[in-house]
Amino acid sequence: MTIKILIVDDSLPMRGVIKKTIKASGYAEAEFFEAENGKLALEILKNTWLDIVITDYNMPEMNGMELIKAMKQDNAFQATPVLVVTTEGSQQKVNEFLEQGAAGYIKKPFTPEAIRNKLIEILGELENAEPENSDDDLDF
Amino acid sequence: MQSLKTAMMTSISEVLETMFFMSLDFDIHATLENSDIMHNDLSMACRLNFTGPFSGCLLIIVPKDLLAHMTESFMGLEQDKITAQHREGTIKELANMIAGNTFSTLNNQIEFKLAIPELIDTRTVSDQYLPTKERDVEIITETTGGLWGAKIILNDVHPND
Repeated sequence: MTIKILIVDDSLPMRGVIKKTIKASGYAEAEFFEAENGKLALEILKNTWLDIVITDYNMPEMNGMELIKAMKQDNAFQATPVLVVTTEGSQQKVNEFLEQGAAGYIKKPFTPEAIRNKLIEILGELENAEPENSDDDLDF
Repeated sequence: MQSLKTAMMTSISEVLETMFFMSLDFDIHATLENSDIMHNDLSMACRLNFTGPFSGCLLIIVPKDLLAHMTESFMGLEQDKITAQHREGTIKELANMIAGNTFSTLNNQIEFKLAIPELIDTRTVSDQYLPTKERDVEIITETTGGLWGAKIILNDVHPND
């Protein structure tokens, strides 16, 4: 089964890096959706069933915390897990993400292993998962 | 509390090594004023304002050819596929990661609010951000491909004052 992943980040390069890292982590067949902020992410969520949302915090229009709050208030996608990938590193902010319902948190800069381990923790172990390019040890 | 300069150097090392796969060295003799980094049209500059226990901005200045190389390493794309949008996004994300990581390295019990990074005209840097004041923190980093600069300009009282 193909998993569907929404990446929410206002940085085009960062969305590309996260996508590439996920593919290299054994999710090569995943279907990706992208949004530049929380507001656009909600539009995608309204029309698409997703397995996970991976979001940045600091974005224009609607930030990651506001996105989590909006998702948790909507029956249609309150169960969709949210992984926060952000430069925000204060303990207070991390606790706030988790209290609002984030399934996990990864701090930038991140290693490919950190992404892979967190996805497995949230989505479960992949069967027959092979990194897209197993020769380069998850580098991209 | 770890000093701001040490935290910034730790942060730059982590970001470059983890996300850009680049080795680096800090050039303690170079400054923005005496190096080639400031050559107006040949560099790109980005500013990220922050507020917290102290406030100010982080300035990142990278020569365009080095930025192209960094974008290639960051995104894993061939040079001919890299666009201006990729380069702009890369310098903004570099500023974002360095700022966030610096402050959490400094003290992760304290919260800083980071603004959205914005590109600035490099021709304004000399007038607005130089010379470097005693309490500002300026770090010149040497990576494969050349030197680039990062500078924190403080508005309020430095935590170590």
